[in-house]
Amino acid sequence: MGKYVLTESEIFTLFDSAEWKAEAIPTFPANFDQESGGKEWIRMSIVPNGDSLNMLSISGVLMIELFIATGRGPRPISVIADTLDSYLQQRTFGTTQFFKSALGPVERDRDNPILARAIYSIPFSHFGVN
Amino acid sequence: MNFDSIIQKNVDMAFGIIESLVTLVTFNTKDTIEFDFAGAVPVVENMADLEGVEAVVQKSKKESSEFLYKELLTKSINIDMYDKVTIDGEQWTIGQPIYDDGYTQLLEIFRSR
Repeated sequence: MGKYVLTESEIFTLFDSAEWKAEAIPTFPANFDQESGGKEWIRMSIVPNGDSLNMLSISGVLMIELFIATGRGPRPISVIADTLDSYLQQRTFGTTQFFKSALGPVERDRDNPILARAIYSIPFSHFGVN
Repeated sequence: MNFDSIIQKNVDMAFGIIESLVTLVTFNTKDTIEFDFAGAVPVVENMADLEGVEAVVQKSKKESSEFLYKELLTKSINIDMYDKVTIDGEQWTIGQPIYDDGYTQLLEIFRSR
């Protein structure tokens, strides 16, 4: 298993955990068609485009789009972001370590006018051993 | 006969009276429900569409350069498992419920121009 699949698998373990499922926030990966009406949901993309220590390591950013119904103000986005922080910030999954998160502005989703969207991002490093 | 069934009977009667305005539409289910993060594969569930739903299609006040909006008046049904509605062969996305009093509901629907 290469570093990209391994990183993805380690990050997926969080979203497959009973604790995360209990949060009841529908979670989908990139390149997976899903519309969830006006309900809250998130879509995650792993962007492993950073520097690395060796050939088996990689760093990057986990980008998570947070979707909520329009007209509800920013609070639902902040609540989801805080929930994600409690699972990701300074946490390690296997050999993938997360650091400090950031949250972008809330804006109307271009593909679906009943949704507002913000991007939560958190850098990570995946450590492989030669 | 309780009030609930009296109201329901009157709703049925009202849809009968406005028969000329009623269109039969199909509520389409969400094909894909979940993503299995353990196996990294989609879990596809195909559920039956709900066909022959009596509906009145109305104009919407909402306007956008990218989307066409309409409103759909139907008898109340649980729309949680549906994300699209087909009207005269055109598929529309179901938006926010505008109201639902338990007997009738008004839904916002939209599609790309």
